[in-house]
Amino acid sequence: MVDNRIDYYPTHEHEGIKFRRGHALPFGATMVADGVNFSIFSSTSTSCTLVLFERGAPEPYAEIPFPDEFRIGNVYCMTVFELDYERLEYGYRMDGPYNPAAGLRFNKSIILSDPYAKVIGGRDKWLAKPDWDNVYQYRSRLAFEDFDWEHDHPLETPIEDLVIYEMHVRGFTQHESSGVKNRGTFSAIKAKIPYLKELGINCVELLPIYEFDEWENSRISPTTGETLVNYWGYSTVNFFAPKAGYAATGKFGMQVDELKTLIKELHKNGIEVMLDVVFNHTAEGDQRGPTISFRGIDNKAYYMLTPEGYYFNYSGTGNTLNCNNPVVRNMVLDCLRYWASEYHIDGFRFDLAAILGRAQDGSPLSNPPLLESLAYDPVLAKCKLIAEAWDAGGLYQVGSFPAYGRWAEWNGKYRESMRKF
Amino acid sequence: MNVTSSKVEDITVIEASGNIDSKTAPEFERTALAAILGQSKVMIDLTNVEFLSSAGLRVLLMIYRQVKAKNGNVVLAGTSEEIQDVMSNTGFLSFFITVDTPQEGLKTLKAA
Repeated sequence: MVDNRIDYYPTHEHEGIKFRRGHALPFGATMVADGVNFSIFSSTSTSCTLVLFERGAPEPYAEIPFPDEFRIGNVYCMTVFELDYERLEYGYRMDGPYNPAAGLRFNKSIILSDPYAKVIGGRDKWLAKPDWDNVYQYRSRLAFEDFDWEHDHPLETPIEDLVIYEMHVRGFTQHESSGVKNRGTFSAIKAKIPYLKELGINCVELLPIYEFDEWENSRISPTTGETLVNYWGYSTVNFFAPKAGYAATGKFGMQVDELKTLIKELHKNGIEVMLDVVFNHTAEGDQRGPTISFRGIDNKAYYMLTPEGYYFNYSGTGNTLNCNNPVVRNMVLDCLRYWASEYHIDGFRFDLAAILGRAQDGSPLSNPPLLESLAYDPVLAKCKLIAEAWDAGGLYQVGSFPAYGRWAEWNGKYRESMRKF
Repeated sequence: MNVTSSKVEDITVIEASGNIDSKTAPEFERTALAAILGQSKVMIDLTNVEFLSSAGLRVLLMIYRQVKAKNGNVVLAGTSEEIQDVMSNTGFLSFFITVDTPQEGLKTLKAA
């Protein structure tokens, strides 16, 4: 066992905080001996600063600029020592030009969330009113990744044998007639497993559980006066973090363990878990939307932009994730591998998947590298891949989705016909 | 947080009080892991523990794994309803035998 290494020791200090040169990979914040390795990609920024918060604090307690010698290629990396894994929240400031016509929208006054954060704080309880004055709304945190899965293994049920129950995590048990504790949470689904078994289903497909903000575009209904929020969650803030507000223990930051426990119990009962994943856009909207993460880190890399620097809108929500940019493609792959290996997810249903086959200029590709990578990926090899084979930009590929013998498709026309029957 | 360990016949008793979180979990871990070395009957008395964070829950599971490696048993005594709820939601509870009082815990382990 290697219990001591040269890089366990700091070489630098900034306002009492000790740090050293980090490792470029993996991206994100990784617990290492007595410290945390931070790594983030940005190809067009001129400098980057790591911002550290105590959990929930209104102001950061430290800001450490990355010394240029710590940058490897387009990756800023640094290991910081003696951090409290559980209480830490971190973000970044990126400096660089603000020139929208050239696709650059840097603003160093904004604290940016890490695209690879595994836990997001700030919306810990469903519908708890956010403090809009807080300078950091979607707060990157660390996750413990040592869950005890015992003998669990994804079930690998043949796709033709699946009977899928598609559900909204909150909606499934929120009504009091569900008769369970902690209604509207992952934990409550666990309590309903006997009911699911009685129905005879063998797979649940969870509507989006990536962290989103239910308060996004919230407004008062002119007819009823009630506050309307984003209930469905098709608006991702972070692709790696489960929605805290869907966990009974989200207020303690334990959503990762709670979701894993649900998956383990479903597997024990012969029920697979599929995720409805939304990679076609993010919660940042178009040029009028908030800068949360991607836009402020590398706008040109993460989004499909028009020649004038505006956002292509193939998703109908304001922006389009630049899925076939090689860096973004790798992020999607890293993300799905993470869910498959860390969360034992059995399959994925891709929202508006036709977008994943578009080139960086928006044109449909005949051999889209992202779809091919996912089809042949060794970690995802036994995961179901199901495409919603169209997008809001008019690309309709039901029956012609680039499948590589792996991808299944939703068939909307069949669904509508069945509903009318 | 305060943590002590003692022996009742062949049973190791670890008693903690206060909050076990990322600040105090290392001390809890050090004391507990030293006390259980080579032991197969362990009771953790949580009667006076108010809160267990992720880091604290992980120490409990570390204790369980080490005792289990000796084919032993770990009993949790006096766990508050709220902590039990959190432990149930996050999957930690199912590893342990839980009892209401330390007296019951000793009885359970003596019979084991």
